[in-house]
Amino acid sequence: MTNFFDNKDRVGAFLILAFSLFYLRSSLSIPVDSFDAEIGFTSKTLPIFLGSCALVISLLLLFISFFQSEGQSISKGARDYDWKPVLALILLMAAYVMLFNYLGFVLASALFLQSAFVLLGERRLLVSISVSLGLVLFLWLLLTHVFGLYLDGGTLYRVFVS
Amino acid sequence: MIRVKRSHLVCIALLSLSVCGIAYGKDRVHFLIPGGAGGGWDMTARAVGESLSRSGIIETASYENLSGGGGSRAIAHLIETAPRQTNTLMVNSSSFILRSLLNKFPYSHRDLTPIASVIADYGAFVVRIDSPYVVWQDVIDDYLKDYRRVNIAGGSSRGSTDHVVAALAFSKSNLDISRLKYIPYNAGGQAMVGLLSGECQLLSTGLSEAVALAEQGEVRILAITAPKRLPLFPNVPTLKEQNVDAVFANWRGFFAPPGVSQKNVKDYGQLIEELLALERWQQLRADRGWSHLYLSGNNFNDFLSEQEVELSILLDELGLLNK
Amino acid sequence: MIDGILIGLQTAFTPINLLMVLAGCFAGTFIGMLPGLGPVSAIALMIPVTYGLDPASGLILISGVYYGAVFGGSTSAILINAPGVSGAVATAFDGYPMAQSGNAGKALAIAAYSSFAGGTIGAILLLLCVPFLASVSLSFQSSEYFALMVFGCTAVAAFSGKGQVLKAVLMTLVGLMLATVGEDPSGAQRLTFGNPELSDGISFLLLSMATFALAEALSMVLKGRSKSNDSESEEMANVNFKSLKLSRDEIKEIAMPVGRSSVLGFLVGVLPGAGATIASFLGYGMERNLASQEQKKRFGKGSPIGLAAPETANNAASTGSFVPLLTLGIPGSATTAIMLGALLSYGVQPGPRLFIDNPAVFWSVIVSMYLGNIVLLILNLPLIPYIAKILQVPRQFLTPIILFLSLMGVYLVSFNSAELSIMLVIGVIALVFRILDYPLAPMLLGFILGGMLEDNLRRALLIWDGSYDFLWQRPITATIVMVTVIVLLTPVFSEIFKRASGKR
Repeated sequence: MTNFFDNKDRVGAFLILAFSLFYLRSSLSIPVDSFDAEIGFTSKTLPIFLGSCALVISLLLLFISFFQSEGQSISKGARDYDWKPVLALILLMAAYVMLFNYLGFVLASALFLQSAFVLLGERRLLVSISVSLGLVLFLWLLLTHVFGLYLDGGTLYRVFVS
Repeated sequence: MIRVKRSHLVCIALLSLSVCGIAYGKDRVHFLIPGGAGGGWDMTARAVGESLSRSGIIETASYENLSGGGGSRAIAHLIETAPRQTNTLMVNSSSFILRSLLNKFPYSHRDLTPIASVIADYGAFVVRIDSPYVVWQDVIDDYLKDYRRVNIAGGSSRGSTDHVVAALAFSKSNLDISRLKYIPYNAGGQAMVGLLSGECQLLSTGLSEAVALAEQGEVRILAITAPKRLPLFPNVPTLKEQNVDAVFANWRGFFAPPGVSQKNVKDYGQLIEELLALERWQQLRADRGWSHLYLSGNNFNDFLSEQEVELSILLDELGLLNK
Repeated sequence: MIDGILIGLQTAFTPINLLMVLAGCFAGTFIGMLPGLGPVSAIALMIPVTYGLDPASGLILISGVYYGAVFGGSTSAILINAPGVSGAVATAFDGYPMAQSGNAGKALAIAAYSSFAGGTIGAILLLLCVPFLASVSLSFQSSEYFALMVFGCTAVAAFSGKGQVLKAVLMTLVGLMLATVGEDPSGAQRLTFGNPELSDGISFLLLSMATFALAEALSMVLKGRSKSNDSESEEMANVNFKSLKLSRDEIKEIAMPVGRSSVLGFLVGVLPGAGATIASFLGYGMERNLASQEQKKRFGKGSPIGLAAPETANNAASTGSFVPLLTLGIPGSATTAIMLGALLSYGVQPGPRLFIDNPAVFWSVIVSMYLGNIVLLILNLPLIPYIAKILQVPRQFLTPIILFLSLMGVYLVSFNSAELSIMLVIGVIALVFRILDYPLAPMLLGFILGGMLEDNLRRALLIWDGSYDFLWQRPITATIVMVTVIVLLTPVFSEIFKRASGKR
């Protein structure tokens, strides 16, 4: 049974099956306007229809995957994958998003770019710093001073100023 | 690593150099706009800000578009960060009261400091140029014959301003509004297409949006919800003169964060009064088709509370309140 | 009319205005290339810059920006799989695989030629049939739009290769399901779980950046080791990725699709409720249905037709959308709404009287469309080799920059860092589905069409008091429904026919 989930179609169908069950369950509690009820098409009509269709098709896909003699294996390709840098990049993005309001656009972005460059194997610090800082400052100047957009300075900046 | 740290210092230095418009010195106003660029709130705030800054009354105006949740994000932001928003004014309109009544967000105008309303966009009822409706009474007659024949187009969802203004007009015409066929579109322009393509017979919209197309001769304005005819549009009849006592001003005004000092409120009031005296502002207002509606401080507050009561009765009649 | 064109030409061909169109195209291309900043933001950003110009120059500058931004959007879709505007999504379907196979220059050139063709044919059609089309554009009601959206969903067939049919349909459903999140026209909060960030629904930009740009960049890192960096860059150098040359056969191959798509795109663009995105999907779907068996197999893998068709239709539709704007004063899309704002800020009120009251402005807008298209082509062809060089940027720099720009693109629209968290979650889920070989394009297609599909269906039902009679009682609706059924059933029948004859 260890290989049961080593099948691309099957895992995908399972994920969508789970999603559509969750979606259907949540759709049932959508409030209905009495006015819409009169014409037979309310806020939850389409969600329930879509959820049911997705449920049926994902079950069908699951069903088919049992009868296929050879499914596409996940583990076969996964062995060649570079998981580490991808996971690190995702964590880095999460950190960037979380620190964004605190550090402000310039600082957070420059830090993010710089760390990502290093993470992906760039060793020339001078080059990478000038790229990260240069790009971020250029964008910042363009957005705030040429286009007049307002970018919040970040909590840290306010601590420094006041 | 040392170099990385140095780069942070450079960042901070650069940041503090260019201040990005949030230094809270005097003569600066920061406008918080609850919707995206190009919308009604945005246009109002920028028109006010530009009139003030170009005539030198204030030094700089900055604008922050914080859209989301029909304005709730901006309101929440203003309340949460009130202590540091000493120079911030948030623009808003009647939909604030509507969404508050409909429990779309947990705030009301009492959670903020109302400063003043500056303009009003009265509701307008528009028909195609070849429509059989000539006066408001024709709409009433048709509705009484068969309510299904009167499809009312509006540029926003059920329970929003366009819908409620239509409900008000029908309710004051002594009609049963629980049967009102309101057809929601995604935007005012789309609703206008709905009217012109013939699937809707009546369009409920803001006067400023309707006037331009009426001048082009595609549509007629049947009636507006102003208390009396407007000096800018002397030819547009009101509902009131057609014996329907429906008056509704979709005001647009400004709010300061909660807990602002009395002195600050006074200063803001004076700022708005200076604005209203500006020729530049009056010209801009006329160009956009906005009507003058100045209410400040307590008057504004009382007006808001009155509108709240009026709208809650309407929403209840529409069956939208207890959701 | 000749007088009018002459006035328009005279206005447009002054040195200052030529400079304006040049500057506009350049700025527009640049802004449009940043994911997230599409034509709408580009124009919105340029309006304050144009204060103080006279109306004609200002409008010429803005239409330059407009065409530039549309082209710039295609560029980022082709090069880094980041369609920042919904109109460029279909361009990414085949443009990105083509660029990845080492033909970035050619892909960009095809995009430039087909957008030029689409824009120019659109402008000619606009000139010839403005008064007639204005009334046609109003013959579409909600029921017709609903049928059109359903028809648009058939474009999903393009992604259903062997054994992929169910997966493609399933992913379309997921897209449709995601489109229902948020506050609906009845004012009901759907599937928001009390979260204010979700009450406006998931934005298109967020979804497209997360599922296309973010997931693609991450999956490139994921597969990084299997292909060593050296061999990859060598491979790139070998096929001469900067080359713009199209072979005679290729030109022949795309000529007809470009012609057909520009007419189709223009007609769809004229409808105020449809717009360029629908046009690009329909163009893509139509050409796939018309293509030969052999060509069909290349769709989604870098087919020149699959790139040329949506790109042409997109541009022709952008031009077509000026019909309701100029003749009725009605903005049919976000882009034309912002154009309307620009016109109004110059004191020009579009509408049936514009043509009579203000012929100089009317014609200079139209002439500047031609100019914009021509200048864009002249400006961009020589630039393409340099633009394509973006792909030569070392991976360790390119990937973080793509991630950063796609996050920024989303942030700059909402200024809400909470949206970035949602985006990250969707991006990771999208990566998982990429690994599982589930196609993501149908999901985006379902998402884009979903909202409009439901809104129009609900309106039609409200107007028809809950009866579905409009499906056969309105001739245009009935026709579109019929065509949809035929398109859906043709492959099924041909398969049955083939099997039956094969057995014999």
